[in-house]
Amino acid sequence: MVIDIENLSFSFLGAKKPALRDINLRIERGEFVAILGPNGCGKTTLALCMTGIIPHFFRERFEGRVLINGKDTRENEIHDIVPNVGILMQDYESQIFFPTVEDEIRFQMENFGISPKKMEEISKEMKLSPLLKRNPFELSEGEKQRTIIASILATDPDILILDEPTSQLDSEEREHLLRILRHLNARGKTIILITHNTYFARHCSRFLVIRDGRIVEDTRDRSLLEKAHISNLGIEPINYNWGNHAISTGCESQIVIRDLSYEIEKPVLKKINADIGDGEFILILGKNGSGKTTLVKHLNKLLRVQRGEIIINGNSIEEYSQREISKLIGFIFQNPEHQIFRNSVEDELRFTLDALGIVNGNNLNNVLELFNLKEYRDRSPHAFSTGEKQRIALASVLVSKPDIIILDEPMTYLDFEAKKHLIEYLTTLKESGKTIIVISHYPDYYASLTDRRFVIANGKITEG
Amino acid sequence: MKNIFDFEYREGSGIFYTLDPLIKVFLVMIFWILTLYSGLSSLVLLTAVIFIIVIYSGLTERFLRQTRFFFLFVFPFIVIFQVLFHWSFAGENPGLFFFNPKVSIDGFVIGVKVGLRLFCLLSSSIIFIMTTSPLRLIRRISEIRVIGFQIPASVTFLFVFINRSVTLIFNDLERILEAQKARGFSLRDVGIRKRILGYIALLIPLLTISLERAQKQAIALELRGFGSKKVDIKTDSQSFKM
Repeated sequence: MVIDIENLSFSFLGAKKPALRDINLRIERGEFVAILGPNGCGKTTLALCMTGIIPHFFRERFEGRVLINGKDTRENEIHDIVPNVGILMQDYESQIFFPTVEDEIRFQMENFGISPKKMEEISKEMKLSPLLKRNPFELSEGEKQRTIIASILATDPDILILDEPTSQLDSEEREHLLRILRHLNARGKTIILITHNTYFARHCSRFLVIRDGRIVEDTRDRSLLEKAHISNLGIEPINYNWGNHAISTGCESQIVIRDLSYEIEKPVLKKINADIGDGEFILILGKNGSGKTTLVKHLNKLLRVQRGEIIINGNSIEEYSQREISKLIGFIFQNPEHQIFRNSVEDELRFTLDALGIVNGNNLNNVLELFNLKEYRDRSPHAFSTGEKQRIALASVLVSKPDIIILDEPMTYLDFEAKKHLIEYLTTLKESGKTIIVISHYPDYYASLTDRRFVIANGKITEG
Repeated sequence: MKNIFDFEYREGSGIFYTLDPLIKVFLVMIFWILTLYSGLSSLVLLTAVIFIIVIYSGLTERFLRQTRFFFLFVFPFIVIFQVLFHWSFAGENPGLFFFNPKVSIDGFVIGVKVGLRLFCLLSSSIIFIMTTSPLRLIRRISEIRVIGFQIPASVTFLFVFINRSVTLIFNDLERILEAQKARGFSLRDVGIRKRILGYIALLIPLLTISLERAQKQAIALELRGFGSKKVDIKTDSQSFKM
């Protein structure tokens, strides 16, 4: 047995309710376990208990016992536990410290006195050999994750925990990660996967569902993921129908892109041509680094047109001031942390109105109500969970009633319930005639809304 | 992203890459002392030395990108300021306010001296960062023994933490400014007063993000066994040379 948890309860300092309650769990060597549950249910907290970070780093109310390979996490130091268990955190960029992949792996090896001979073996296994001299921040998301997994594997841990590893990955990178995990599992490693992605989780051999800090399901029956009742537990059933494909109707062009090219050190966009109609819902697909975000950043002048032309509502984009274009086009970024910079929720929404010179702010109360934020209007937006911050970021953009809305991977930090709410809201926006452009790796969510798809590969639209 | 990672170490060849990081720290300190106590001709010589090192180490393009702002704005500002206002605050009883611009050759010489001095201090630090692997640096720091005592892991942690955090904070700032621009407010397009107030207002979200990240980084370092050092095995393939 590699993990043995008995009567574990834990509360963070100042929290109204415990993060974990009465957890009893045994995980055997070589298991491939999925931990599922809505945002804030205690999944990551449980993972931190398995690494010894709780109770050593967070010393609040900790009851019960966690044994990792027979070592009690309370009685052993973190660096005694870590050689047995490695974790890829949700914000895995925080785990990167050095400017080369090689140093990143070497650092872990030196900390545990591992022979340098192992470097070649690990980098080969993780297919990182050609990337050893590269800066991890210049790599794709999948390559960054592989760098961290490689450094974890330096100590050859029995257990590998991955917290939401697929959230930033495109479909090809997800497949690649899955192959690596299967390979490691076949080598006898215990893999614990914390995820909202039930489609990815179907490859596991055991499924735990956590809700309000308790394990409410523990089964090896894969059909659990297909059952309708798991949606009541805040988990997306694998066969959930997000809607049938929308039928596109012809409409007048609102955005015209002609021969748009852009390069920064190397070409990112190559002669892009596209027409987007008034009230259309456009889904932009493509691998990480293909140029999706670069393309949409041109539409509200976050990037200057280097070559080519963009016409919006019949006028060249160059004729619009930044304020005019921001009034016309709302942009919601992937990471809500970078979109929140005021001291209260209301102030956050008011910032947009002030910046755009909108005096009549009647819409502010409507938007607060629509996003269930009215009772929190005076609270600091920084005090919310990531999913809730995404809602605030959305509200702060939509308060100015833009005609065109661009969303860059809006589902990344959302659980099933929040995803459903977002789709409902996008449906309302579409019905009210707004033009919506969404970048995503998950087309199924938007099936009922999508009029057209643009697939971008190597800086060109290959389908659309 | 605007070359944020230009500032960081990248693998390269030449004496400045292979030199022992502690010797490099010592040399940089000597260079700083020389810079602080040199006259104009010596400063010109030290500036030439900087450029020779930059060209020899193959850093020319990155270095020019990093110092472009200094040469385009800071250096001319210092020189013009000294040319016009040097006499306003020179002498035994400098005035509190200097509103009487008076062109002077002395001011020009002093302006060039101040500008070059700042450039030498700044660029020697940049060259040190660009050519020193942080891993080798912390490895050497952790080897230091002062009367038999090792430098605490918390001090070394500070090096690792600062090395990564400075770059990431600039990255966060870029992203926040971009999000503000998307909402119709660009700090780069407003007057000086509004810009200063805007940057001050950004300190809160930047601090919040930085604190959250600092906690995650501290956890990540714990999880990577930093400071445990059970067995002391050198994994550095490069030998230190003078």
